[in-house]
Amino acid sequence: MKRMERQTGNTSEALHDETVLIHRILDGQTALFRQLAGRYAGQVLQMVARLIPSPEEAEEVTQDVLIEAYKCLSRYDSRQATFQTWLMRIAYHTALKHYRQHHKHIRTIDVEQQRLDSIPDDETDALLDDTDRLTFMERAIDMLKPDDQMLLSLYYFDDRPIRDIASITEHSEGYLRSRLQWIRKRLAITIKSLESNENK
Amino acid sequence: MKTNEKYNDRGLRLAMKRKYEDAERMKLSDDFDDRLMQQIEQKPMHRHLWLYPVVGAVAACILLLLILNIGQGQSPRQAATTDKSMATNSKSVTTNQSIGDHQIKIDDHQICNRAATTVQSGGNKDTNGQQQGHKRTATREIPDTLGNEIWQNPENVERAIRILADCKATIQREEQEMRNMVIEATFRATPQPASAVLVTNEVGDYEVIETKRIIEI
Repeated sequence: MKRMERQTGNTSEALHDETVLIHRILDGQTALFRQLAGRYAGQVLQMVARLIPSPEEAEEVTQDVLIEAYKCLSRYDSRQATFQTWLMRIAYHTALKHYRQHHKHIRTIDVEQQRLDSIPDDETDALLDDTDRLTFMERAIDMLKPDDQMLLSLYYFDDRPIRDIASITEHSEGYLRSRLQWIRKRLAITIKSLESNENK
Repeated sequence: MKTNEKYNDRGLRLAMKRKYEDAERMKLSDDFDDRLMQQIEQKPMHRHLWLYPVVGAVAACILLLLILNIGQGQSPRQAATTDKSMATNSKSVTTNQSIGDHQIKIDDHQICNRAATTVQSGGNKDTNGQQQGHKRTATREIPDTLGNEIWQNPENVERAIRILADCKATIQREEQEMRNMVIEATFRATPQPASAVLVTNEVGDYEVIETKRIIEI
């Protein structure tokens, strides 16, 4: 309990420290932005690199994200979201924009709604729970649209709560839940198709 | 499989882990911070200084247009109607329509005269009386009536003059700041003789002069 209190105290202290830092940057102490950026640049890079695997390109986009954050710093409201979430929102949108501009030949598969409805929930659960189909799963993820890939990474890889993802992606929680369900079904169908092609 | 409102999907989680292994290991280059700060210091926070004179100029234009429009709106015919109605001292009808903070009184006689010359249009307003068509026309004529009333009050005229003077002063100040910024930026960006210095003249404008001239002055 005491440890928890200390942790909470430390967190609120850190948040206060961050708010003070932001105020000082906005007051003209530009050099302090190095300190603020240093705290999150690594996380931004790792998020961007999920869509942009080239290290040089990912670093360039990370720089764009931080410059954008600097330019919009006065619009940041600590009551709406933490600085980290706010920064991740910029990273998410910048990475997607960059991806769409530079990877115009994205290969995605359109799956008809009827086919999606044809696969029962139990089968979807079983397919996605199976750890022997990892290669097919990776290939199926690659065939998703970039924003769906990012949604999956935020949910499964970062293990973020839906509320947090809603804040980053600027979608409603309801939309994200149904989208997630849709993506899961789509993945299950793609995995099945890839498997049957392989067996042929 | 769903636990605590979260999908379990162990296989999918593992696949994601494998897929993003490289992204997790990625590190920023050592000089990243320096390059970032260099970029940021080259791009100072956008204050959009150029916006101030533009906004000031637009505001002044709108104000001038309003004044001109109101001035022209009182055509000789309307002026005569107003005079006549004032002379006959007829009964006034008060509409409940308010524009800004002004409650507008519309002369009954004036309404009748204007109604004869103006095309009747929709938009029933809750005025009292029996002549619905006349009232509709009166609603359309309200800006003119407002204009007439507004400029009869010397306080309003003084206020308008003050606003215009303020606008003019603001525009001049912003223009000077902009001019000075351009002069300073050009001075810093282009090669200058060692004796050249940037000074402010008596009206507040920047000027590039040579030190020799300063001594002469």
